[in-house]
Amino acid sequence: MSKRASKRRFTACAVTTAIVALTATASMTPARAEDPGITDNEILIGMFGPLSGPLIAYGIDPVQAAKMLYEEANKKGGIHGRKIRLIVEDDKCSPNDIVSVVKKFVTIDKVFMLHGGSCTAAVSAAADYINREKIPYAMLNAAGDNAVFPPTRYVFGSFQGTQRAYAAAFATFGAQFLKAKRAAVIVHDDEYGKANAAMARATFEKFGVEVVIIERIPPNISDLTAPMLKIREAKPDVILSGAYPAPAVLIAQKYAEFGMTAIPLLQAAQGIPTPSVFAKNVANPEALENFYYTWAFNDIGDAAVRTKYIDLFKSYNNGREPGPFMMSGIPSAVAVLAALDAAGRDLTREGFVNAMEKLNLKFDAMPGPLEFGPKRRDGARTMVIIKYDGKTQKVMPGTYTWDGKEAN
Amino acid sequence: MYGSLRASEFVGVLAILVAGFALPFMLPEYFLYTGNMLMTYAVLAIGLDLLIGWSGQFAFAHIAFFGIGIYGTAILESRLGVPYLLSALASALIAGGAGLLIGFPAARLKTVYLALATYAFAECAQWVFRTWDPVTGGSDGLRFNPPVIFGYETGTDGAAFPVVAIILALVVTATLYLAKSKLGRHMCAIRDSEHVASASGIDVRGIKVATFAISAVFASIAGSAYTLFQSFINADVLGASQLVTVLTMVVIGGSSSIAGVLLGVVVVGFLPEILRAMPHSLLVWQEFIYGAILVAAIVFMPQGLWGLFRQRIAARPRRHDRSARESPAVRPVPETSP
Repeated sequence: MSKRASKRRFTACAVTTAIVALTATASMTPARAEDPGITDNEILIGMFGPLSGPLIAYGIDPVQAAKMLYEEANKKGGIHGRKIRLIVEDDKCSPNDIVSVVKKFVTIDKVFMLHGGSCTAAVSAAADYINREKIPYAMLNAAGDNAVFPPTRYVFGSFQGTQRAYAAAFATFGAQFLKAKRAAVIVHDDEYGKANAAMARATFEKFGVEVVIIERIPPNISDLTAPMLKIREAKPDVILSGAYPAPAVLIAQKYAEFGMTAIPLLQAAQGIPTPSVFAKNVANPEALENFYYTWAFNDIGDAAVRTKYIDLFKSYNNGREPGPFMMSGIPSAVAVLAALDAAGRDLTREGFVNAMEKLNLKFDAMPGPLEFGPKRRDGARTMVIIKYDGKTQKVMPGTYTWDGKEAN
Repeated sequence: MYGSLRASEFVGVLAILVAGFALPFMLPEYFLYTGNMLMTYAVLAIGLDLLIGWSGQFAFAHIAFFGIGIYGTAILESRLGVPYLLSALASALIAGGAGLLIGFPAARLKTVYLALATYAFAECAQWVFRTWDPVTGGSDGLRFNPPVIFGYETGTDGAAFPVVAIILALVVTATLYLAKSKLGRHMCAIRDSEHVASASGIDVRGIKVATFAISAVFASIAGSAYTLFQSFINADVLGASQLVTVLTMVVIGGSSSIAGVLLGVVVVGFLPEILRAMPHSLLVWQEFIYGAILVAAIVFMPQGLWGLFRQRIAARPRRHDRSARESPAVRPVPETSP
């Protein structure tokens, strides 16, 4: 071999080695240097919810509940040595506001991930931007049917169940426990109602229950006389309601006024934010003689769980008693903490998303697991049913889990 | 034409265009998004001001036409593949046609009856947007792709910003011309006194109907601008609260003035962004603050911030002009400079 050839071979080897070494170094460099919102001792999370306006009840306590769990994690030393720092902003449950808040968090505050949102329509408006910018996002307590079906990579939600899960639980309960043969469904003419009605019909029909009437009402309806009379005419032996708080009260009042109390009335959780207030507003004990509602948590049946979270909440909020929506802020924060832990010290956005995707988490506050998968972005599918007579709440036997099969 | 436009009156238009092309290189996406929203609101508010401020018609169907612009453009462009500009034009024609249709009966109504009738139309339109599932996506909302204009893809706030600025500049220019036109003068005459206008030979009903149509077209253009930087629409956005926001912009800024409306848009549009940074214990007072500002504006600035500003400027030389001070107040004709 000539001296020149040997030199050429040496140069080629050196260049190849350098390229391989550079590539290897690049692949070993933690990607977190590229991901904003992470330092050696801090993870920055942008949190939002309705903290003002008419829907404040859906956001204020869940945000406080999630904050307290992050604080608790920080007290224990944080996640892999990093403390969690939160920036919290008000989204008013408005699509335009939520997009604005999300863009502020991402481009001005440069957060690592997003956690928030109590209203499905508003959350849906931000989903495209979140997926385009590849920002991990965990919903706070929005049911989020529209935001998680079809699933997208960066959006994780429904930590307390979708409308599909509520409707499937109720229809199963109605068919199996109450032995209903004829069902009536009353829902709103919005995305909640649409998902609720479709799943209720599919589940009832699966059990051979005839859906005799589906009434769709606007969320701002002020007189339920006509829909409730039509339901009475249809002679159902169970009524499933997916109404919001104010119409849910009107439904219960008319239900009693029209002498329908022999028929079980099943109300989805969103209509009964505070059971005692609901009973007071209905102002007719007869309306609650045969009344049930869905619930995604163990706090009603398990006094220890209830005391644990309420006491913790009070310790962070100057002794203030939480509203019942407080519990809905717990699961998403627990899931985020678990995924941050699973993602390890070399935290990246993609690593976090992968960890969320593999999550199958059971904990004391919920009757079923929080679970995601490559094609699943709705976390909770298991419900319990509560019987409420205006004074006492009794957890009905068993849990009710949606099997994940879509209604046709 | 009743008077020609001075070159200085286009300074504002030029400023909008310069900002439209320069700011995307200087600002992060959050500010560009806020800017896009404000420019969209500006087009919407200028359209509403034509009805309320210029011709004195208290009509509240404006958000319905905004919705027609959004849904029309999104459906035509994203689902049927019609080019963006044609989609926007078609939506504007549909909205203008709808404006004519409600303009004819509405022109016979006044005051609270007109307000109620047009508000009912807006509610009906929102119901259609929410329930016409196969077309509008119903209550699930409608997701749409970023428009492409002659190969230029919008969709990000930076890419959309210059296009929205051009739209605003065109709308402001059109309104400047309208202010100087015979139609603009007739609108003002009707606002000041329908009887006098009619006695002067002005076709009151025809002018009112035309104003409804032009205002609807402006609202539709705002809707088309909205689709440039958003990717999702739900009928919830097109409710009464949106109308109140735009109305507040017009009232606080100063009606029958382009500059006043733009000022109102900036003040009211930025307010939520500023209030959002308030301590959380004070956030619940936001609605109260909005209400207080609106009441204060009506009581202390009946002609809005811009009117107050002009009054202050006008008052200065009058200190030295006794005769001018003693002359009776005359309501100014619409301000045309942006």
